[in-house]
Amino acid sequence: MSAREVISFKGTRHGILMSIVEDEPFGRVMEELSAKVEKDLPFFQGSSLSLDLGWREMTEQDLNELMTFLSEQKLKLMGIISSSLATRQIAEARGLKVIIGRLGLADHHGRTRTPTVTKLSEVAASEAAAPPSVRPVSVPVPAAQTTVQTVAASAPAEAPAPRTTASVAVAVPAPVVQAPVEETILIKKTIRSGQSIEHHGNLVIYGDVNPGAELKAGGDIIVIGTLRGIAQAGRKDNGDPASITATRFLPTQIRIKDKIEENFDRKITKQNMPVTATLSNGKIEYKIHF
Amino acid sequence: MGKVIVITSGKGGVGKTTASANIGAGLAREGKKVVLIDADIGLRNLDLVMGLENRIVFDLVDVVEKKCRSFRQALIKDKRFANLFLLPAAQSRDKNAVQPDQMKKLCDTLRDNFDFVIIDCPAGIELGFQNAIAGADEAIIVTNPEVSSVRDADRVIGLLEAEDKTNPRLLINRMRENLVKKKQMLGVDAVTEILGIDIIGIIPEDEKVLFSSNKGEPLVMDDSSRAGKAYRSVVRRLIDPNATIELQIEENGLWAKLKRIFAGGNGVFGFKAQ
Repeated sequence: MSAREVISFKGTRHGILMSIVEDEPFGRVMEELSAKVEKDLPFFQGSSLSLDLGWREMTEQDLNELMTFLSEQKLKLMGIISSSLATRQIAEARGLKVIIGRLGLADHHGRTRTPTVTKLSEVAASEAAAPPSVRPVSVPVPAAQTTVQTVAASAPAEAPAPRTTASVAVAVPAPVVQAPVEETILIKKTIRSGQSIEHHGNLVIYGDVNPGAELKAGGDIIVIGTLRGIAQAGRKDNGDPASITATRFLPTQIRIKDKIEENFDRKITKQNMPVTATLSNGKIEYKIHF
Repeated sequence: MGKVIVITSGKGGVGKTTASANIGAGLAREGKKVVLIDADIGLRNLDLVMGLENRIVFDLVDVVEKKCRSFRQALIKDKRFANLFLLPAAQSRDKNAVQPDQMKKLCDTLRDNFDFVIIDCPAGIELGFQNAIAGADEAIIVTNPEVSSVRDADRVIGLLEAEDKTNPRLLINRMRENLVKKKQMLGVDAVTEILGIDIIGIIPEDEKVLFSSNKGEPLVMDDSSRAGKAYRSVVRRLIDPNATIELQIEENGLWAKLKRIFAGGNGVFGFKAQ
């Protein structure tokens, strides 16, 4: 057998991030995992785990086996990061927190990629002068690839020290663990039919949201592109105002807090102009940005 | 090293099998060594469209289960082209008879032996689809210019992206320019605006497709057929990605052709206008 690491660990302030090589048979992953946990039990005891599964396709049986093992060892599985839809669906069904992405921390074989999740606060900290605003960071990624970037909404007062390379400047994305601050994520991708993006904070999509796709955000939603699918903003019941903005506003349905709207005035949708929908006095109102 | 291309759509009945047969035969006509794989286990059709049904001895499942000596034993040589082969699906089994990693292995073997491996994907997004895409390098998404097949194509593109199979190309089938002009059918722009992927070809609606499927003769050999011509330009683009001019000629020329039909002369359907 090759000597490559099947599982690698990384301690973060939110717990342990465990990256599993994508193309290793699951049986071997479990073997390796039990060996590692047994060897370093004190290190793991009582901590929370997040799993970076990459494109690995987990079956329900695999996930059951893994979760049973972890609970036997008194380890708490917080959530998973996966670029496989099937895996995410299975994990979601088990009540795990799920984020789309692929950190690529493990020695992933077969398909090499640059890490696609970057904590913007860290990049901003390394750029010193740059204010933490929502904007893409230039990570060299092939076209049409998912890029999830995490942005701290408030100035990162306790931002970690700048790291030397981008590949290690990857922290656990907040949705997986309890986020200390309100967060905004930027997704550079077309969200297609059947795909659903859910986030507890604000959501910025730099791409189209096609019919049949779904956005769910605790806060605001901004689509820099055409919104044709369903968008739901303000799911967090904290009294803050919530809004949905799209540069081309042609949704099938929008929901802001508990209000649902599926009949749109043609005056709003025909403009081909950016539109913001907000809730005011229990009614959804639109502002066309001419 | 050959290329493995999966022909898929999500929705059924949009023309995946017809596209597979014509693209396969078209590539063979250009002198490429081609194998067609029918991945629609339990509902095999590609052999019928190719007119090779009565030559089947072994099938895809036999190859995967190693019931024949090698994959070569299951390959059926085409009647027309010596460099075109078909690996038929099993009819008495179902999609569960094959697993994605087995398909991947098979595709890797075939890739070393052929210039092109064309996989005819079954409808749906379940195991049959997962099997068909497992070993593919590239994907061609077949869609008709109507909302439900475009929606399903969008879903499939999303699933391919999740499997790290990026840059699929779009084949718009059964296009009727006259209906598009009357705004009764989605146009090419409306389709690409939603899907946002490159187009590899536009196939006009053509009754000859039906005749040729029933005869078991791929249309691509028929020089008088509009759909056959369109498939030939798809084939040229598969061989040379820079051969983009053909698409434009096809698009602009379609109206001119229709006008010619109605103005008299040889019609598309082979009869003379009065």
